[in-house]
Amino acid sequence: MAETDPKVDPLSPENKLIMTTGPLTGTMASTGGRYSVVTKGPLTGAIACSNSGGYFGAELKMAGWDMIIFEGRSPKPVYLWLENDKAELRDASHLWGTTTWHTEETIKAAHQDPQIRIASIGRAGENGVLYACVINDLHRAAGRSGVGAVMGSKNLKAVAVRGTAGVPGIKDFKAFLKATTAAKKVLADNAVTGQGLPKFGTQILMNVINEVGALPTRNAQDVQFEGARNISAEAMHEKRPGDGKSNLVTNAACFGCTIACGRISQVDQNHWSVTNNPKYWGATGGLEYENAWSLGAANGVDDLDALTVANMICNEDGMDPITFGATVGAVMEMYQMGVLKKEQIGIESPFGSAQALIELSHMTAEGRGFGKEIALGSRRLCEKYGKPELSMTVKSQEFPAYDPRGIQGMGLTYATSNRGACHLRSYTVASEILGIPVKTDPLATDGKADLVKAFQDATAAFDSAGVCVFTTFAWTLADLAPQLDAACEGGWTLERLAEMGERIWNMERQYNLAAGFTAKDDDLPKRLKTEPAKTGPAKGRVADIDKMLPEYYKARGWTAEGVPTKDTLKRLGL
Amino acid sequence: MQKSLRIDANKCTGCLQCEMACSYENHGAFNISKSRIKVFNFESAGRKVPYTCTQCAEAWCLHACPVDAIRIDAATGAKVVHENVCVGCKVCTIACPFGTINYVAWSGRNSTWASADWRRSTWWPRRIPRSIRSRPKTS
Repeated sequence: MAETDPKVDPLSPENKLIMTTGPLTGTMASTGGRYSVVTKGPLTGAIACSNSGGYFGAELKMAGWDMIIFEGRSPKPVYLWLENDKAELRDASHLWGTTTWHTEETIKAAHQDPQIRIASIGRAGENGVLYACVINDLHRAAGRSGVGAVMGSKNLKAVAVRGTAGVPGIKDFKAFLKATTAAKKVLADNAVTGQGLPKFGTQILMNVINEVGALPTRNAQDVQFEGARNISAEAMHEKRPGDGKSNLVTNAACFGCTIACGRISQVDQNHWSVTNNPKYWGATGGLEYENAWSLGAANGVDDLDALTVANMICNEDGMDPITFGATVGAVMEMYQMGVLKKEQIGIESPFGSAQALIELSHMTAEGRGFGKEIALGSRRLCEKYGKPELSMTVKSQEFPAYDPRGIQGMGLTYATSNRGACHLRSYTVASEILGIPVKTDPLATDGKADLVKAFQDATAAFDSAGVCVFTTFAWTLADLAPQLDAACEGGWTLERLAEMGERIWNMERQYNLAAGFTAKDDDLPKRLKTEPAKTGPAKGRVADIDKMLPEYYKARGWTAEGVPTKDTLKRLGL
Repeated sequence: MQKSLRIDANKCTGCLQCEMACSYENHGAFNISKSRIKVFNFESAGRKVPYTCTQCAEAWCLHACPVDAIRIDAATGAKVVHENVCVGCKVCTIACPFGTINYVAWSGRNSTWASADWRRSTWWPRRIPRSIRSRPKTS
């Protein structure tokens, strides 16, 4: 709030874009390679804070930079070139209008250094797609809330870094090595981070969540998808009839990560979506669970290779597959209802049409035809066509792959997330489905307020430390604290970390309140509250957000209107 | 006794923990550009492969070097790069048949480039500052 006025227009020069690393970024702490992009989000109008792995964050830190703040707007397209202490804005006219893949290749060739790490926007960010991402290392994304559109509005095409200065200054190296080694062992010994994620990736959830009846299907009309098996982790391992190869080539790690959940996939060269497009033939970042859901189940599409290609298009041109896929789901429902016609969209778009999905991906990424309307996200699109109830959003951001009717805690998570509906700020699925750290009943609402608060505060601490939220499947704050304490000054105890997490959450909340959000915005789409789940264990249930929200406000020390009380702020030193 | 690293490239995920450990051991900072192990990314094949110097018996890089910056250490028998002699011409990177010798641009931090650990057996030439490059040392 000290940096930007909460009332600022997100795409105006007055908004600022902040790229920042955490204290553990670029160190030997497992998963210590993350950086965050913070700004006011154009999709939501709320605070946006998207973080990403890959190698870019660590390289930034090794060049000696903790944070970059971009202000104003460049009169012409530029990219920022950082080589240790040297920082230079260079002309990017030749890169404007090209993809992130082309941008990375061109910048590396121009500087004759393959070791340069690059974060860039594709055509989606340039064209102001409201959910454009910043993509680094070809397929890692600071994905949500449209941080890429803000970068595009500043005429900033890319940030390229080469850091050879290193990360010195670990407070107590011996203690640090001991703490990080112990923490790595915790990750290796855990069934999720040691076995499940490396082998199956996040996609391990597809069949699990479908079984518990919490897979939002066809724009959340259903909670189970009959084609889930075809787009699951197991299917990615199976050999295709076409070329006898599996979709999954290998797993891959981000910088410093000893989990290695990343998917590297390759599609069949004879698949109809790529036969004339050799650039999609090579191996690259494959489907994560969220993308497989948003591009697949949310639209009723179960063609694994088509989903992989749609995901590649999202990476290539830098757009958030969750919001994009969910928006296509809303378009398909409007097509089904007859609100949208083939002439308007440009292609027949019934649920389940992989052809429509691929074509709409290209159209949105390139800013052609109806793609310009999909670029607005589902809230604005559905309002335009008089069907606001079809938009599956909170604070204008589409919710991800867990149906609150089947996992009640996620309903509260979506409703109260500061950056709009999001699973990464409080992953109660860990507790409600996987039993981490303790098993809670996914259909119960009791105790979920405290659970969500605890998850939100802990996650805020993990995110700002510069490590990956996936470590929380095995780590608690008690595993993080000794690593941070050995690395930095400041006496990082468990209590101090928890308090820091809570402070972050309250500061973000204050920003949103100042931006004009109220308790009314902490709500779920009507469909989730009024249309009961049709099948599965949650059959007959709706999302009981109205019951949980007052309890949550109370647990947070906020008023009934969702405003932090003076006592709460004082306690947190705000 | 001579030791060498046994690397199973099939297991590599590209996390670069080995590069960080190597750089910290040699330079007291997490700095992967100074690692003697280099993980190469073959993006379109989906492969990550860690490379180290193979210490060839007949070292082509040693013969290719125009300023004798690559020499055999009398005590260990290892071929090592003397970075205060290296002029950054990169001929050794062309001569190496395995592509395991790497060049790292380094912007004028004179104070640290003399403190490298010569006992290490992998090779690691870097560019030295422009002012010194024009008059290479020969001893």
